[in-house]
Amino acid sequence: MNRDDVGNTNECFVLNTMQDETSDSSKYIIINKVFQLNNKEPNSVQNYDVGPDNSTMKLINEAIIEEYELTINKLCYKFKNQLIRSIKNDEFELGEISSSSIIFSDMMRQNENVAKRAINEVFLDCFHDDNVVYGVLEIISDIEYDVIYPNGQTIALAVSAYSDDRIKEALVRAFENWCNVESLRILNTIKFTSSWLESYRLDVIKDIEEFCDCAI
Amino acid sequence: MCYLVRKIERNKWSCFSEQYLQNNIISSHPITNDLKVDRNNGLSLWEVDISNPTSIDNIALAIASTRSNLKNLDLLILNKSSLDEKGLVMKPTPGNSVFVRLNESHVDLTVIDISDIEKISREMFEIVDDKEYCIRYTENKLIRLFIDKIQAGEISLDNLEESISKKIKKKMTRNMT
Repeated sequence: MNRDDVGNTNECFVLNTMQDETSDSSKYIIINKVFQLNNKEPNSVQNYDVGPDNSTMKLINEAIIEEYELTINKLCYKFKNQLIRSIKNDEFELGEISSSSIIFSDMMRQNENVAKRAINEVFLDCFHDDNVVYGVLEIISDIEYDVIYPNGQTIALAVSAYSDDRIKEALVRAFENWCNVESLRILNTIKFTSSWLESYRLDVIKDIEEFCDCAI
Repeated sequence: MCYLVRKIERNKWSCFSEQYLQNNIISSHPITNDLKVDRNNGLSLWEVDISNPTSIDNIALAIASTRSNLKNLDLLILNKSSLDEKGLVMKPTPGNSVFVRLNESHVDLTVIDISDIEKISREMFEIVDDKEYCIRYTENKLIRLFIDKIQAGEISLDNLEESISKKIKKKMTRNMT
């Protein structure tokens, strides 16, 4: 079946309203689903009249959503596994752009929402693995505050309870990079026992206050 | 008295410094990460005059300018005579920072074998928790120092990595408004 085979207005509507990310094969699956839901044979497309009634349109919409979600879920799963693999193999040398950061930036370009959901899922799946959590923090701290909001900030807040100094330091570094009033507010609620870490937190607070020209 | 500066990641050392000070154990994590040598077994160090704070700031900028991303930077200040006493050999090797004038103060410490690694790592563990010898430059402090150098015409933004110059430009724009 191709676009030329679809002679019905409503069927064309189905094809035209689908998201750009939906592949051609997915579009055919959606059409087939609509037919199945209406107890029609998929191959009878040329003679099929969906009619203008609301129930048919509802079925079309449901099928579109179902297929779209499936596509998104598959992409998210792919991103998540790719990120976990990359983070586990990465060295994260301070002052150098990590390959995981480059991969994540590319994912953000492909589909920002899915990339953000994927990094969230990496954190949730691997919250017990300090090395992966550190990598996640390093990746999100390289992304602008507004772009990674709210996923990045939620992850950063969640790791404030971790005991590993390396993770705590990466947390402060993330807020240091975001450098705004919201970061300041959060940094003011955290305290560390290691003197060098606490000194770093206070220095960053001072820097952000100066940069934002404010104090809380 | 002459001192030498080595770039480190403090968290990698501080986590194990207690273990070193109490039980004399040299953990492999900081060593395998922060003491990487080049093909000639050279470990990069910079000579510094610690009586002049500007001298340390300049070295911090020289090191930061060789990185691809502007993040906080930790410097460890080592006593040269102490390294000499341990038989460690240094040879002048030009640095590759954007500060042409400073590149002359770069030296390579020749790390011939594992015993040299042990000597230098002991020196480092001894002072890593001492605020006087382990200095942290926050990202914003580095940006401020870069701006001073750019405004004094000592370096050009164009010679820095794009991700670094982007952050400096953002701060400079903010200062002007």
